[in-house]
Amino acid sequence: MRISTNTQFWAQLDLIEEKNARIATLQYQAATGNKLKLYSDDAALGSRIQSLSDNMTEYQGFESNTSVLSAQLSLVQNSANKLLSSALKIMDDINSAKNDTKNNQDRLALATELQGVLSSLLNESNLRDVNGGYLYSGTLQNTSPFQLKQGSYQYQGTSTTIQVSISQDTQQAATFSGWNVFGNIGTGNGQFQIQFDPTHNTGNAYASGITTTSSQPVSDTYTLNFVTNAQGQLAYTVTGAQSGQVVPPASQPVPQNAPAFTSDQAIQFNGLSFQLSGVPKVGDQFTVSPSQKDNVFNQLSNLVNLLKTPVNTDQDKANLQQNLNNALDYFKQFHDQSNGLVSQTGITINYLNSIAERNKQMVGADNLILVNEATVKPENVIPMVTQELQSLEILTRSFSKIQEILGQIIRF
Amino acid sequence: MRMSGILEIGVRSLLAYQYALDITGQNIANDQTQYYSRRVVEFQDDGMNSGVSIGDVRRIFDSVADDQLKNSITDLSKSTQYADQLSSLEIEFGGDLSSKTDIGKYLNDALDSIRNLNGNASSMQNRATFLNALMNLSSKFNSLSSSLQKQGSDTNRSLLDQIQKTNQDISQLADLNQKLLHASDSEKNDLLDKQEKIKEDLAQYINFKTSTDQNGLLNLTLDNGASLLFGTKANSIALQNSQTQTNQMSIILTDGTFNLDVTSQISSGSISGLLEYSQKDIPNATQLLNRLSVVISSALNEQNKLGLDLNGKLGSNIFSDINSPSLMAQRFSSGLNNTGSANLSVQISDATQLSGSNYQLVVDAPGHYNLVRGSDQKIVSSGNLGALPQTISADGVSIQLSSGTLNVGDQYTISPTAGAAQGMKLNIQDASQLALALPVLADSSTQNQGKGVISVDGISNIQGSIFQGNQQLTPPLKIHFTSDTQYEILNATDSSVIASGLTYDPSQPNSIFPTPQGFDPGIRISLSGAIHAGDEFNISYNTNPSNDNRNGQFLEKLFGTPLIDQKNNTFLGEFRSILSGISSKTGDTKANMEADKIVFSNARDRRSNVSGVIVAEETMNLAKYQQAYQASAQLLQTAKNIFETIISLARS
Repeated sequence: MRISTNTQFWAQLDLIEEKNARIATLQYQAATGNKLKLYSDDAALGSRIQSLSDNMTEYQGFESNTSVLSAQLSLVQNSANKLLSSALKIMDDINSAKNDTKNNQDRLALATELQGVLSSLLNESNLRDVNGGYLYSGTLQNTSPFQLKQGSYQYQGTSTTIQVSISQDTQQAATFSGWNVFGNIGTGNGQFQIQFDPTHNTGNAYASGITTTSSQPVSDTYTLNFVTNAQGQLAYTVTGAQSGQVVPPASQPVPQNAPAFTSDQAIQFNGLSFQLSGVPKVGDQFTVSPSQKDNVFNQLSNLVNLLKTPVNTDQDKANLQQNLNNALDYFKQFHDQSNGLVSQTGITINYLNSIAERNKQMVGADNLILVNEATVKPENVIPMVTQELQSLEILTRSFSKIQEILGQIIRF
Repeated sequence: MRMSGILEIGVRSLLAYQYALDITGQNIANDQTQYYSRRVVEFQDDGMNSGVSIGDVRRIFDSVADDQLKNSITDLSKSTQYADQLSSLEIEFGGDLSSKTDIGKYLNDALDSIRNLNGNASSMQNRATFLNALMNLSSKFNSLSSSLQKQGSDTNRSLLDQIQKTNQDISQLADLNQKLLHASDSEKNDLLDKQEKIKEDLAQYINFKTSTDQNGLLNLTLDNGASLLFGTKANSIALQNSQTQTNQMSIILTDGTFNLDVTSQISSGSISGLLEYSQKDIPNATQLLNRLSVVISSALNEQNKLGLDLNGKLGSNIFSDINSPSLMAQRFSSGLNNTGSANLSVQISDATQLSGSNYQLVVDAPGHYNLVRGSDQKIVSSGNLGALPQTISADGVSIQLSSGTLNVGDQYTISPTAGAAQGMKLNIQDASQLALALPVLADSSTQNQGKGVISVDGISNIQGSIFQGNQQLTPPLKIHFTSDTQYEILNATDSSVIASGLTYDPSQPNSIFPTPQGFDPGIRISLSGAIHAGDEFNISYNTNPSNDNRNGQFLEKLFGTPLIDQKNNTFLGEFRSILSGISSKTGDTKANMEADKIVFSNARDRRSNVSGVIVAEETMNLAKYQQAYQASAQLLQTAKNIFETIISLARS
């Protein structure tokens, strides 16, 4: 086959050009550590690199939110533990105040102590995040959640909370509704409360905590009246504002058929049950009504005022016991609610930590894939550069030799 | 033997070998000349006592090899040009891995900053950071759009340059044809070499076919037979605006009198590469970029308008309005031959449905139109048109024909997203105008006995009458439960009943609006959980928006929601898809170029092996002819000696 001088020349040049291009690529890889310069060098790999990089950016984008949230929740958890301690302290003081041996002076001391707890709780309700925003005001972070207005503490925040993204499809509350932390607790047992009527009552009876005996007690305001029945016994009737005569049943005449009262014996009607201790008198009244939602500050204020009020008569004593029982029921709920907050924040912090850990792992995993697929190790590339350079040198020499031979031929 | 015979033989052979040496020298001198075809000397016996003379000097060529080389040059030239152009486009879009400033980066920055902002919505620093990220994003759209425009104009300039060179080559070939008519045989060979050189040069620019007429003159035609060169008559090509498609260029072939659109015939060569890039890739990339810009602007604008800013005011457009009157009026161009007088404006009614393509609105029969999508030539809307005003809608676009007349044959090019990326600008300059809050608060009464939870899921319509008051709802609303499973909606100001007898299912989230009777204040509220009779929920204006990030959350979600291309792609996904498409095409074109290089290399070698010079061969010829020349000279010397012997004999 005839091979022209030009063909030989071009073949050499093509090879040298090819080597130079290869060396340039390897040098770029050695210098940058990147396998590709342009995505089009390997469009499929380029697309994968983009996708991995975007994933990493996506995961890293949540790092700040999860760490800030975690820090805020730690603040709230710490605060919730303080609320829990306060609730226990309040219940201890209530139990202490219930002790018959305590006199007015003792109760005054307890009142002073509880006044301090009230201040402490109010202080806790004003918990703020690192940016100075209130954490217990829902979405209204620049508003102090509980303010004294017209003689009572009122919630100024919202029930909705500020949500922050912690992953692509998940949001987490960054603030809390103060109402759900310090309020939203029904007086009494949360469903019903029983009240002593200090203006009518002359006896010294008072009720212990009210319980429900049915999952759906009949919601009504009931009045329990002490009467004398046909047998001349101290008896009671119960009448509901909506239900009408409940005890004895409506078909039976009152007071003749009213059931006899026995101290510390359960009085049950319409799914409710409670006991009266002490000795009531005919004409004494107790009211059983659905609970009213209130916050701890009003309830604690009432408790402080109650303890400050001197107890001189049996009726005062009964009234005190009745209200202390009601307060105990209320603050038991506050205790449970605070306990729930401690638990909830703990779970959420763990969840956030797991999300952060998962995000970190995903970034790590993506990064590993990215390193494997998109980068080259200089120690792998440099020998290849050396090899290619040697190859280029041989090519160049060969090219020179061929040119030399051509020259010799011409000289010949 | 006659004395004059040996002398004549010597002289003739001397001349013949001198000529052969010249030819060999010419061959050696051109051993590096690509287009040169080597010459082979053929000696002829001039008969007894006449010696030798040059019978012919053959120019060695293979027309098939020449054609293959020409075609391979054309193909390689196209793929090289095209790959270069696409690489530039890829780099513009951020296809260089070392580039950290592509639109994807700015989208990620914006997403990061809105996430951080939602963590502390009242922070002016965070707000400024988000606004700055959006400004950077819009600037990137502007600069990328400008770069594409510049690439378009640069490409057109290159096209004009190459068209000029093409015409020069055709003209030179015509001149050569003229010279060939009157050239001697030896001149012809030189002229044919020159012709080969110009053909190879021309092959870089366009594809063409060659033929030779009975006079040996070269004719050039395009694939459809249209003549570029016929004998000594050269036609020329030119670039002009398309007669059928707005913003498109055509290549026309002209003889000075008649013009013929030959765009579709230019299928290879660098002009074809430039044309494809200029007419397809840049417009496609621009349209996709514009669509992305429109969808981002539209989505963020609409969401911001549903929110409440830090000043307690309803939000406004974050970016410039995608449907400003001036933009709407610029989105069409009338056909050059229109006889009607219709006034148009083009509104984007649903950015998520935009195809990104241009459209042709054609009046094809009296009172009848077709709307044809440019990307797939599909009729997307068709029908009868009565008296104007009329509206034609398709693919998220509403074409409003407000007044005037439409005549058969009228055409309009509709470009719904034209100029969007270039015109993308921030509309708000003050970060407090970012409407991160929702204008509505929904809250449960603190006296509720149930566990019902109310939430505002969003605002569906901010234009409703309820939002027309000054920073208040008109009226504020209250949901009052008349039983555990029945509720009514009240005017919270005067407790008048707006809707009653509404049923509540505590086992699932309940959407409050619109009510079954059709009351819809434009607010989306959901209520869930066990609710007791008497429980109440208030819906009021948000008078304290500073830390509220609810609309900020919606803004954040926009970045992860498929809103583009029939809701198939997110903002970032769409950008990645555009870049990936360009990278993929660039990669394919580079692969084609490598293949074309091999084809070219083979074709070049084939031709060179036939027509090219082998220095060794020519050196041997040189030695051979030199010896023959010296021998011929010796003949003359012998003749001279004989002659001198005869003369001396005569003298003696």
